[in-house]
This record gives sequence, C-alpha cells and structure tokens, in this order.
Amino acid sequence: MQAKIVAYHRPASVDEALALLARTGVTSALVAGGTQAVPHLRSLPTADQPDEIIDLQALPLTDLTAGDGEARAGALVTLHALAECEALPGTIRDAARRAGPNTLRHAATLGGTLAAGEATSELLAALLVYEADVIITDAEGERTPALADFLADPDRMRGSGLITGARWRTDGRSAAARVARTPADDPIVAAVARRTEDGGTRLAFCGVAATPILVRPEDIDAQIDPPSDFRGSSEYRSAMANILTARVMEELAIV
Amino acid sequence: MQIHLTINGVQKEIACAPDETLLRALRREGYFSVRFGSDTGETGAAAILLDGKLVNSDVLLAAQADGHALETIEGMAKGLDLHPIQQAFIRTGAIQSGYSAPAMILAAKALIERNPNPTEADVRDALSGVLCRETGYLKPVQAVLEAAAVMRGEEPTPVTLNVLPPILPPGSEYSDLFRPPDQEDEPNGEIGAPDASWNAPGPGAQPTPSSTVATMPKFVVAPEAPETTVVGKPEIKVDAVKLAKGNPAFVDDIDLRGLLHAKLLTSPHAHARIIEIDDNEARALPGVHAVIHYKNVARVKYASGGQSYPNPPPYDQVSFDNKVRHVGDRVAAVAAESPEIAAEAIRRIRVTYEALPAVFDENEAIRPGAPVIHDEDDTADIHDAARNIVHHIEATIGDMDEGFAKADHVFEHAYYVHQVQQVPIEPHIAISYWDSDERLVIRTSTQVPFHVRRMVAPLLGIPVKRIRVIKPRIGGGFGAKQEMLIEDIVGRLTMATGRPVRMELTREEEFVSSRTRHPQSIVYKSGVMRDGTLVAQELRIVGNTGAYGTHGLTVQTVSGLRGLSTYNAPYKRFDCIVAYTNLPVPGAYRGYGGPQALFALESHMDEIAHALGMDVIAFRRKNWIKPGDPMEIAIHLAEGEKENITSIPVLGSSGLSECVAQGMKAINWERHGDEAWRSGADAPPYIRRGLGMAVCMHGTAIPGLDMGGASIKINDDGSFNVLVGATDLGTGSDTVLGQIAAEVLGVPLEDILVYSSDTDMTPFDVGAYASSTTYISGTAVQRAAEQVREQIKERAGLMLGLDDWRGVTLGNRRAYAPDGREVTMEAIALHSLHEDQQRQIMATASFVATDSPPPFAGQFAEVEVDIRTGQVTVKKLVMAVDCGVAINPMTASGQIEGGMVQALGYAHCEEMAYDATGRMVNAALGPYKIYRADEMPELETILVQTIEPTGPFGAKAVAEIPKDGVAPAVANAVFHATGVRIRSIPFTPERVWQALTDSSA
Repeated sequence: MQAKIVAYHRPASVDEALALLARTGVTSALVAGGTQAVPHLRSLPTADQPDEIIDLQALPLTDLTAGDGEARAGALVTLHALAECEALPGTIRDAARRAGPNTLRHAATLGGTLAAGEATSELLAALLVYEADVIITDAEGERTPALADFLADPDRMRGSGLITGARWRTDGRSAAARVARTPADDPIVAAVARRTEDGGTRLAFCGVAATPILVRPEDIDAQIDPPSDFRGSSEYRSAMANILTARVMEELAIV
Repeated sequence: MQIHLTINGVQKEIACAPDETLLRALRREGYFSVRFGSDTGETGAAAILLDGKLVNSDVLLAAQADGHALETIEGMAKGLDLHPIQQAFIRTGAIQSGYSAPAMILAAKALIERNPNPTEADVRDALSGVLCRETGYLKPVQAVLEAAAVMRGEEPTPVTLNVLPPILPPGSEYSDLFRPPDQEDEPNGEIGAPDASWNAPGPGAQPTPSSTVATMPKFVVAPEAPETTVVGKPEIKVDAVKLAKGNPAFVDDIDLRGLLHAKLLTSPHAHARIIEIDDNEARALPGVHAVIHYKNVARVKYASGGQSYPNPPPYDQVSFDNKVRHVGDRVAAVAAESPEIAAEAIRRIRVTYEALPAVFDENEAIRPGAPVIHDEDDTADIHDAARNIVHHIEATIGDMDEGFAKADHVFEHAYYVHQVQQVPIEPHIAISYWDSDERLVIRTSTQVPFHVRRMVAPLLGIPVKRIRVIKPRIGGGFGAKQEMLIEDIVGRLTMATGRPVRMELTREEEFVSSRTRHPQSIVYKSGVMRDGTLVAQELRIVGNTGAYGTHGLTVQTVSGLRGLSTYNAPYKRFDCIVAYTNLPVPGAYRGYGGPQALFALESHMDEIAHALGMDVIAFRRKNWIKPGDPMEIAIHLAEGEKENITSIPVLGSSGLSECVAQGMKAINWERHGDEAWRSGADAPPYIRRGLGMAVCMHGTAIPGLDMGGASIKINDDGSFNVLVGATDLGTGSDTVLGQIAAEVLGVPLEDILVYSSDTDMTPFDVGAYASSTTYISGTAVQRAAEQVREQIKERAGLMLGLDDWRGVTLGNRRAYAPDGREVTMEAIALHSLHEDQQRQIMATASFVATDSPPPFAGQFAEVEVDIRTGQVTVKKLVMAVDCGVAINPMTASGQIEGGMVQALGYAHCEEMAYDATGRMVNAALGPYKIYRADEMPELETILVQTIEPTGPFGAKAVAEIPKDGVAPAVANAVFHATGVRIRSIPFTPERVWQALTDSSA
C-alpha cells in the first residue's frame, strides 16, 4: 500500500509557501513546530490525508521585537522564546511558560497556538487583553484581524493565506488567575485582566467557550455560556469566571 | 525521500517517508534509546536534542529534522567512560525502569550546557516534559543537581545514609512521647522539636531551590540490626549502567527480519452483539497477512489475570468473542507489513453490531432489570450471572449484632473510589517468533512470564513445552502487566503467518483495552466504646470489575483483608459483591484493593475520632494492631490456599509507632492545633491549610501460594550467575536479589550476574506482584546461596587439606580457614571446574512462605485549599515506612517516592472519565493528568527499620504500601483545612467546590 502523503516541501520564503498553497488539485497540510500537526496527521485515515506536507520552519518568521508599548512576533517564534523575552509583559511570558512542559515549548510556535485556538490557552487569553492582532499574509498582502475576531470565526483556518505573525500592546498592567487540578495542569478556567494606560479594563477568559474570549468586566454571566466537560460543569465554570474575575480585578486595583 | 542530518556528530543520510515521525526513523536506524510512550509528545520518552534543544521525536517528522544536528544518548558515553550526568543518575538511584532515563539525561545535558549552575526550579523545568511513573522525580532532580556540581568541578556528594535517632525508646509501644501536642499536657520536647538533622519548612513552603544533593532517605536503624557488608547498603542497581546508556534492553529493542506489525480493532460500543464480520476488504489490502476474529479463532475460555494455577474462576473471556462488553473490547486483530497498513486494514473490517443497553455503575448493574453482561452459556462459576454478580465474598468473626449492641456508639459512613489506570510509560508490547526448533518465542513486557507461558498455551493450542517467554527490561508495570493480555494475539498471528509479529498498544488502548483499578462503593460501620475502644467493624463493598472478572475475586478479597486488619476488634465482618459492568476492565494495580479500602478506613477512623472528640492519632493508636496480636481475618480472607494456613497468624514485627512519631515530626504535626496557621492568616483570605495522616498496613506476598525459585552457579573467575524467575519491572529487584546472594557468598555485588527472566533459562517464579519478590524470591536466593556457600567451603577444605571444612568462612572474595589460611574465590572456581574432583558448584532453591508479615507506614500530608474555587494544592507528603530491613535503602526509598506520587494522582487528579455511552473522554496523558516534575509537592521518605524474623536478612515488603495512605491523608487534611468531609476521590476542584458549597448551604 502506498501512503497517500507523497511529498514534503520546505519553502524558504512566504511567497514560496503561498505559491505552494495556491496550487489547485493538490491538498497539503502545514507543519510548524509539529506538536499538534504531526499527531493529527498521523491519526488520519488514508482517505483523509493530504497529498503533501508544507514545513514552515525555514520561513523568516522568527523575529520577536518589543518596544514603545508594542510587540510584534513572527509566527515561528516558539513559546519558549516568548517565555524568555524580558521585554514582554509578565502575564504573557508566564502564560507562554504555562502552555506546556519544556519539550513542548521548544517546538510549539505562536502561529500554531493562534491556529489551534485552544479553549484552555491562557496565552491566547493574555494576548486578547493585550489587544493582539493576527497577521495573515496572502497574495494580496497583509491583513490584521483582531485576535478576538479571528478566534470568533469558526472558519478562520479555511480562508486563504498564512498566519505569519501577531502584534500586541505591551503597556498597562495585567493580572491572571486560574483554577486547575494541579499546579501545572491546563486551567479549567482562567481569567486575565489588563488595565490600559487610559484607565480602561480588558478581561479575557479561557475555559468558558470554544476558544478564549474577551468579555466586558461587568455582568459576566450574561456574556458566557460555558460548555461542560469532565474537568468542570457549565455551572462550575460560570462560578469560577466570576470568582477569578474578582481576584484579577482586586489585584489590578492594588498599585 | 532522503534526508541528511548529523546524529551524535556523525553525518547521516536516511531514507524516510514524508509523513514518518523522527521517532520511527531513529529507531529504524538503531537508536533504540529513543522510546515510544505515546503519539502525542506527552510522555517525553522519545525526547532528543535537536540543535541542542530538547524536543519530542514522536511529534516531529523525520523530514523536519533534515539539515539539523541531533543528539541521542547513544552519543554521550565514550566507550566505557560514562558522561558525568549518566554517572550522577546511576549514583543517586535516579534510574528505576530506565525507560525514560535517556530522555531525562538529555534534558539535563541541554540544561547544564546552557546553565552550569541550575537551581532546583531550573532542573524541574528541564525535566517537566519527561513523565516518570516510578521515581517521584526526587532522585532524578538530585541527579541533575549533582551532575551540574560535578561538571563545575565540585566533588560528588558521598552516598551515605542519613541516620536519625529513634524517637521512641527501645521496645516502647505506648509512650507519653506519643501524646499529641494539642492535648492539655505539655508535649514531650522530642515531638516536633527541630533537631540538627531536620530543616523545618516554612508553612506551605515550596520545594526550595537548592544545589545540595540528598537522595538518600532518612533512616532509623533498629538497635538489633546485624552487621552486613552488601545487604542494607545503597548499592548501585545492577542494570543501571546499561539503562543510563540507553542500551537496547527493552522488548522493542531488537531487529527481526520479516517482522509484521499487529493492530487491534476494538469495540466502539459498550455492549453489543457482533452479528457479522466481513474482513474481505482488509484481507485484500496489499501487505496484510492475517486477520483474526471470532469466526476464525477457536473459542477457548480463560481468565486473563496472571495468577497461580488454577487461575481463580470464572473463565469468562475468549480471545475473540461474538459479543463486546466495553468500549475498547477486542473485536479483531490484523498483522501487516507496516503499522500504517495494519491501521488501514483495521478500518476496512466491516463489523455489524447489534447494540445492547449498557450499565456502568456497580450498584445499578446488580439491580433487577439491568442488562445482563455475561449471558453466554459457557462461563461457569459466575455467582449470579442474571444479576451481573460475579462473586459474593463474606467473612465474619463473631456475631455482629452482638458486637454493635455492645458499643456505646455506632458510626456508618459511605465512600466511593473511582477508576484509574496504571500508566506505565512503556505500554504493553509483545513480539513473537518461531525459533530454529520451531518453538514459539514470546518476548513480552510482562510481570508474570511463567504464568503467561502456562496460560497462553491452551489458547494457542500448543503445549507449554513449545513456548518460551522472555521478559527483558520492562518500562514499568504496576500490575497492568500482571496479565496475559496480548501474548495470545501475537502468538496466533505468528502461527498464522509464520512471521515474527510485534504488537504495541497505543496510549488510548493502554487506557481502555488493558487493565485499570477497580472502582468500589464502600460502607464502613464501626462500633466503639466511649473511651475510643473499637468493638466491631464491618466493611461492605460493591466492587466494579468491569466487563470481565479478571482479578475481581482477589482484589476485592484483599480490600476486605487490608480493610479489616489494621485495627483490633473482637467483631469483624466483610460482605462484598463483585459486579460486572460495561466499563473497561479493572485488574491488578499496585496496592491491589488496599488503596480503595484504606481510603475509606482511614477517612472513617478520622471521622470517628472527631465525633468522639479524640485526637485522631491517639484514637488510631488505641486500636491499631501491635506485635503479638492475632490477625484472624487473614484466615478468612486468604488470597492463597486457605487450607495451607492452619493457625491464626500473629503479628511479629511492627515499627508503626515509630513511623507515626517520625512522620509527625517531619510534617511538623504541632501545626495541627495551630488555628492561625490553619486559617491561613498570612495568606489570601480564601486559603485554608490542613494536615492529615493515615496509618498504612499492607502484606508481604501471598502465604501458601507464592513461590519463587533461584539458581546460582560459579564461573571460572569466582563470579556467580544468579538465575531468577523473579521479574524486575524497574523496581530494582534484580539488585536486591543480587545483594542477598553477594552477602551470603562473601563477594561484592559486581561479582553477581543476575539474569531475569526467561522460562527456558530460569527457575519458576510467580512473578512480580503482591509485594513478594524481596521476601519470596529473596529467600529462595538466600537458600540457594547458602547451599553454594557450603559447596565452596567444602572445596576450600579440600584445597587447604582441612579435616573439617565447616569452620570455613567467606568474605572479601575469599574462603578463610579457621587457622587463617585463605583461598580466593577464583582459585576455588578453577579448582572445582578444572583441577581436581571436578564439579560445577551450583545450587537451586525455592521458597513458599507460610507468613505474610505486614509492612507498616505513617503517611502524612499537608494541603492548601482554596475555599472559593475548591482547588486543593498538596504541599508536602511524608511517609515513614517500616519495611523491615531495607535490603537496598536507595531502591526502597525510590519505591516509596514513586508510589506516593502515583497515590497522589489517585487522590488528587487522575480519573478515567466517560461519556454517557461508556467511551473514555480523557484517554491521553494531558487530559488524564500525570504529575510532572515541575509541580510536585515536597516529598520526604523515612525508613524505620525493624527486623522481621521470617524475612531474608529481616526484610519485609515495600512495593505496594506507598499506594495506601495518600488519599486518606489528603482527605483528612482537606477536612482539617475546611471542616468539610469529602467521601469520594479524586479531590478535583469542582468536587471540592461542590462539597464546600453544599456544606455552607
């Protein structure tokens, strides 16, 4: 039996990657760090497998810059690099560190984290409060949807183009709180809040919807309808969203 | 495609498929140290260094590594010269099964190269991606700190025992020293008073970053302990070097020409009849060599539990049935040229199911009208098949009505314990092939090679003599591998194809298609007098044995035995129903019914103490069993041959009082009465702190049943082969058995070559279970060695011309005559093998015990509870264990540390969760949640030595008791912190939050 996946590409530029993606009659799968894409690919029945793999590792998307209240990172910046970058807000660094153990952080990328949109991602919640935009490049050029809009779009990975990076604010103060089974476990619910320089407040949760979401800090119950799973019921998640909000707000109130 | 990369400094060109993982490609190239734990990167067993960074090769494509530099552990040692990190792992006892040791050592290498002076937190982060089910991470963390120190040019820390003075005076059982500090009298200064050997942690202290190396447990020496040379010493494990080097040692680490890959088709239904199987499409797939299922496999009834002959009934399984009884149950198996082809063939088997109603709860399963799970007509010995009752177990001492009538108070509490999985990092794997004599060789990751050989023979339809079972190194078992689980499948496929066949369970299959721990509904009822004296104790259990009865009788029997042994009462009763359900199958899991019963018992005793207004320890002490007390329930609940045990066993050695005293001191128990500490006055307002404890008593082997054999022979250079059927599954039993032989024969451990286990080469042994190996197999080794010693003495007498050789003594690789003359062991070997009156100095012995001397322990836990979220954080676990004489304190403490952490998972986070159809929804290690290195509570182990007269050199067991006490100690600590009693585990946030919410409503 011939495996269906017959080719592997390692484009050296975004244009080259986009050209590969633009071909018709050939299905392909993108791989960055591999931590999610590889197990997913390996689990597919032959009929569902793509024809080709496009490995993004050689793309020049590993720059990480921060200054003047803003940070910009290429899609291939690893979670380890985010965690180690002293110019980033502590909440983002800590969330990147918490995203997984050492082995995963060395491979997993910012782009992969954005693409996956995992409900339990505290990093995405932190990026939401820091007003992150996703940078998507296609033949037309760059577009920069707000992360909140990007995550809210269920077809976000079906459109044309490549996630090439993200940019976000680094000013203001932030706080995070979570409840989890063990100290390093994925959060059941986490709340991240940021007080902006102009005195506004941004609040995001993970664990209360299909992806991390941004909410207004008041009347939280009206804005969320958490799903239940074995880690926590809808009722419990709602209760935690309120309790954790109170904690992060209290922390932000203390100067 | 071709890829070019550098592996360990050598340029390589490798052919691979575009979608192939790097793990697969590396193993095919012979880098066997890179190991499978899952397909998801979650175990870290497949971690390697890619351009100096630790990454998981199971979630990396080989193609992604093109152009990069890789390091595996094969590149670390230069010939016989080990890297300092490998040396540190060996010296500090950081290696148990060694399955993931290469990954940990590489993690350390990457860390130290980047940061020569790491803190403990740095080390824990570096190891965070490599899950360990064996060590509790304590020794690996210390190994990395030690390696970093050595690489900085510092001297290695000497491995010495950290000896503590006893707290209790010799012979003392009841002492004022015991009076807890919160009683009115002034506590004796000994309790809780820090001394020089003890660093008190601050309240709720995190493990403090440190560069000091302290892998040895604290140790309380029995005053009557005999002088020994090898026994009782922290000898390096006999298999440590090969494991630290990542040498090919495990089942999968061989190349076989023409190997086929087997794959299981498992049931998507919890309960269904198979109406039809159509395998034509699967068979037509090129590369498929065999498809087996109920239509082409003989229906031979069996019970899969790896137990002594005759296996306990009922024989309610067949290799492939026309009915499935749980999601994950076997439907068919395929052998094909590659795992991918096998997986595709599995998808092409068309199965027509008639879905049946299913039942998962043990109490619902035994109600009238519940679906009947075993409605087949060929399973005998089910107690009441129509009601799904496999067994009804009863044992009574005295008239319970009379007993409860005598009591001033009667307390009754109901508990529930859930289902968890053993999670060995190496899943079940077996490889079978025909040898040149056309005998079937099965190389398998098993705890019970001899049982497997006997049990698989009738299923395959060939005699035992045509089967050879080899157990190489195995990557943990914890009871999951006390089972004849997949050996029949590979055997059949080899017989069908004539080819070698390999089958390895996926991580998901390991959860749902192997074995788990029995869930139980438990009720304790106790009658006590006003002064706290226990009069009557009744234990009622409904045990859930899932779809099949394997181990169902014996696990639940042990729940009764363990649950009714710790405390004396003239009236005792055990009443237990074992129920079939449509859950994945429970079996043996380290502790074997003990952890279930002891969670309930030690919670119940705590509850009674509070109700009586008594100190929780004083109440237990008043009632716990003391030396000289009878253990009558053991006769009624013997797992082995009841007729072999004719008199009521009496407790011999017990260090329990000292264990509890040491544990109180180590956990700083005087805080139990400190209200400011408890209410977290210095913490956020929602934090409460608590201390809890549990008393543990286990068993040592199954008396009258467990047998182990050993064979010892001398070699030309005066070294010895020790051949044992005992099955080292990572515990260090080969080392312990080698130490016993070395002690008797007067040679260092390095002169003992231990081989285990191979049904063609070694004497019989029941295998590794029931905390038996040190005691049973150890005594067999001791006896064989004593016979060899007599032969050596006789030979020395011949060589030295002695009239009477009986006065000859052995030591320092020599035999000494009473007059001081000596001959070397080598000279004795050469003389006996080559020179005069030649004979092979050798002996074989075996041992079956009549006793099962209990090890004891005091387990202590410190927790913080967030009373608004329900989140419990376990800050510290202390276990003081009396395992008799620890033959090797290093490996014994490793057993305790690893066992405590597994028990912590049971108490705190691990839980098999199901949807309404009986499908497990968290069958991966992230969602299931195994503790990692960077989130561990502080662990402390104290060995309290006693001398057990029936054990080899005074030894008792240590393997299972670490599983017994953490859940109740945490439960009791949560109660201490919050005042709320939670009678089911695990203590996940919502469960605790719900209990706190309910109690305040």
